[in-house]
Amino acid sequence: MIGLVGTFVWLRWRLLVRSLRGGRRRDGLERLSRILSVAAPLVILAFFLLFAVGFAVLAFGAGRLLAAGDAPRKLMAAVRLVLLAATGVVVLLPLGRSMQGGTEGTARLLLLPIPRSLLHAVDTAAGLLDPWILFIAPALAALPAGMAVGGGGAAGAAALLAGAALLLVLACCSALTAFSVQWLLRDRRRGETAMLVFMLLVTMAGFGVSLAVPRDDGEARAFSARLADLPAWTAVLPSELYARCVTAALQGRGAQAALCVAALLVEAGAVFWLSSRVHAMLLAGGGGSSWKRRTRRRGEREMRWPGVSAPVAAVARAQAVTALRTVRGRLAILLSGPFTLLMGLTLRGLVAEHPLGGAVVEGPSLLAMGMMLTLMSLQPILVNQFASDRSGLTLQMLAPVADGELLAGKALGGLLLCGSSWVLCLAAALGIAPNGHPALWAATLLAGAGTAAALVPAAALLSILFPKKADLSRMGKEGNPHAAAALLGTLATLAAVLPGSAVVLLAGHLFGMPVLAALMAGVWAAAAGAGAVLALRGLAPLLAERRENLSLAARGG
Amino acid sequence: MQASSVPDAAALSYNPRAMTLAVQTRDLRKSFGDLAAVDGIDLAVPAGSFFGFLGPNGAGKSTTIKCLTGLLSPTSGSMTILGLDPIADPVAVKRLVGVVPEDLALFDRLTGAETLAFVGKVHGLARPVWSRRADELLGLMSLERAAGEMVADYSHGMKKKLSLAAALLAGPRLLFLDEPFEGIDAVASRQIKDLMLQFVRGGGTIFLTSHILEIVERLCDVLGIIHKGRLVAQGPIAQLRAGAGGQRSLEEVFLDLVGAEDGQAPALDWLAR
Repeated sequence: MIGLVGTFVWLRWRLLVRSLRGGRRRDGLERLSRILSVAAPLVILAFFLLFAVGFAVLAFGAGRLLAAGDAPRKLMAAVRLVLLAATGVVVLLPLGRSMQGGTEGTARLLLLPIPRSLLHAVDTAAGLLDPWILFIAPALAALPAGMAVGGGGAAGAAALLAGAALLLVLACCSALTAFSVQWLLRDRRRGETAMLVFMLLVTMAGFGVSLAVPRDDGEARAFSARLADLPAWTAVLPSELYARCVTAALQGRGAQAALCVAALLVEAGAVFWLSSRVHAMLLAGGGGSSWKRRTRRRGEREMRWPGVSAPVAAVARAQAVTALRTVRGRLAILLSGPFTLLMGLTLRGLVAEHPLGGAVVEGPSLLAMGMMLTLMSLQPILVNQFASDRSGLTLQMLAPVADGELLAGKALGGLLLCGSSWVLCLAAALGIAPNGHPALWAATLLAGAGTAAALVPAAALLSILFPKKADLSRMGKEGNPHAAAALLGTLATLAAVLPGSAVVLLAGHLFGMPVLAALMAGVWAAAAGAGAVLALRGLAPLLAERRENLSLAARGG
Repeated sequence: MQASSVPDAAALSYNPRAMTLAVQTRDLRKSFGDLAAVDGIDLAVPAGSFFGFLGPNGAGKSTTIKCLTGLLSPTSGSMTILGLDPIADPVAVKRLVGVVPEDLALFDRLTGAETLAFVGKVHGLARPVWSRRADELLGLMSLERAAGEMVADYSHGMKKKLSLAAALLAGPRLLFLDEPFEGIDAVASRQIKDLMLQFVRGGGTIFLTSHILEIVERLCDVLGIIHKGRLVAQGPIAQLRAGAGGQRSLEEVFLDLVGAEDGQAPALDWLAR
């Protein structure tokens, strides 16, 4: 049993280190990132040890003060908050890690000569040595030690027991989270939907926090009061049970402290049982995908654009449709609309008193922010437009599609994606702030179109020069474009935004001539479009030259 | 091993100059750094033949097929596909050729029907034409019910059948098939074999790579054997089998040419009970 736990601990750490270091690199441009990838785990380890030790020292001091009765009134509240946050981290970190990885490991585990129940117990026990649990373990040992030094030996012993029980609960929670996510991901569609919802919620939560942040003393006092009076249901949280145990022990109420430790052990048992059920469900599928949804075949809709050949339209459609069926593609399209809405709500509160606040919360300004977010969110697709097709790129390479047609199709597909997201941004901006001169709205849209057109050749060039096989349904590094492409793509986006923004800001806002702004933005859009067409023609020979490299990169070779 | 080890009788009776060739290469080479994956091969695939391209793992089969289909650029040498130069006019060659490559060349996020529609459109076929052909091919491959599912949800065998359907949709004159029977069940394998034979009977040419000797022996009429990047034998299968020493099995011919000693397993004493 101990040998098995040791093996699983080793496996989990190796997988974690591998996920931080990444795989082998192929070309010279990544030498720097290779050095960084080797150094990164060491830096993280150093920070980890530093923070864990520091955290433990603080806990020791807190324990001594609590036992000596010299503790400030809010010390226990601080301990509760820290433990609550730690519980959240323990639950969320395995969630993120599991979402980045796949479920391939499950099938391999099934092949091991170990009974399934033991497999679950060993996997859960190995979780006790996960870094996020190891991070708080020294603190949970140091707090009772501090209490003992401060004269509360018996209370310290109770806190030590409660700490051990808390670690058990957290390890079981961590296992439950990891198994649940793996079970969700076992089914491709279910997993992708869960990932999409998760990412949207996490992103939106940031705005929620910014809306909840107190803006004056009155709000700050109310906020503190809300934190002090947590709802009743939070009493069953493991961190709260631990805190109650420590408080009771310090006040000499041994029976209540023992009850809290027992409650923690019961929680650990319940979560362990629940995770064993999820683990059994996970293994029942043999570690592979069980999804086999029969869908009615829909008619293939014809997509016709004037002046666009059938191969170009086919490539464009494939680009847009396949991107829209990935998590990153959907996020890029769906995120900008709600972002525009929430940005409007947030800014309305923050800058209402400011002299320039009115201009910032105008509809066209919000629309511009949403459009900018779209361009940034689409980067993984736009700057890796060939290799992110993976095996699909081979199909395009084998098809009788000329290099210029392939480039044009990809450009058109990217613009389609941009356009569909911008429609949502426009709806959101009109919904929250339908103010602003109509010509200013037109100027913003035209400036955005010019920016997108200017980005087309830059994105194509980066995709040709820095291809990287990427799964756009993965949120981790497996879905990211080449680091150089990502960096240069961001810089290119910022540069492409400048002319349009300058036109709208100067003519529209500074000189108060929105019609002139719309005209100038139209000229910029037309010039950028014409430039993009010419630049794409110039890129065709480069694409022809790099076809082999792209094809190899798209297959991960 | 050099081409001189080709059985004499086969070499003498196989005269590519007298035939119309679907595929011809001269001194074709492809190197990756110091490694010569394809080391100066002269292929001659007669039009209308079922050409089997055999070789052990890593011999250069897939690299050759990738060079012929334009996925890799040869380091040197020349190629002619159906009388056209694939380097000078790749699009014209691609209009005449269907390929089932090693990685199957499918978009994960398109459905089976959408994949065939994509192929039909990029080949410039009219909608009624590609739509009818797609329906027929999906039916033939028993994929009608899965036509609306995303390729990511297909089994390996289904993907292979869809890739073959995509290769056939535009009505090619030459098919390149890279290990089409690897990882598929007996039923699908039978369907694919029947389809291939029908294609060749209709005047098409098939260039098939495989390391399953039984399949090659049963289907192919002309054979090329590659070993360590070099073509060590080429000719009608019957003549290769009837080399020096009388009638031999294809396995014997193959092992003679690629060196049977390479395939001998070391004695793992600890496996003995």
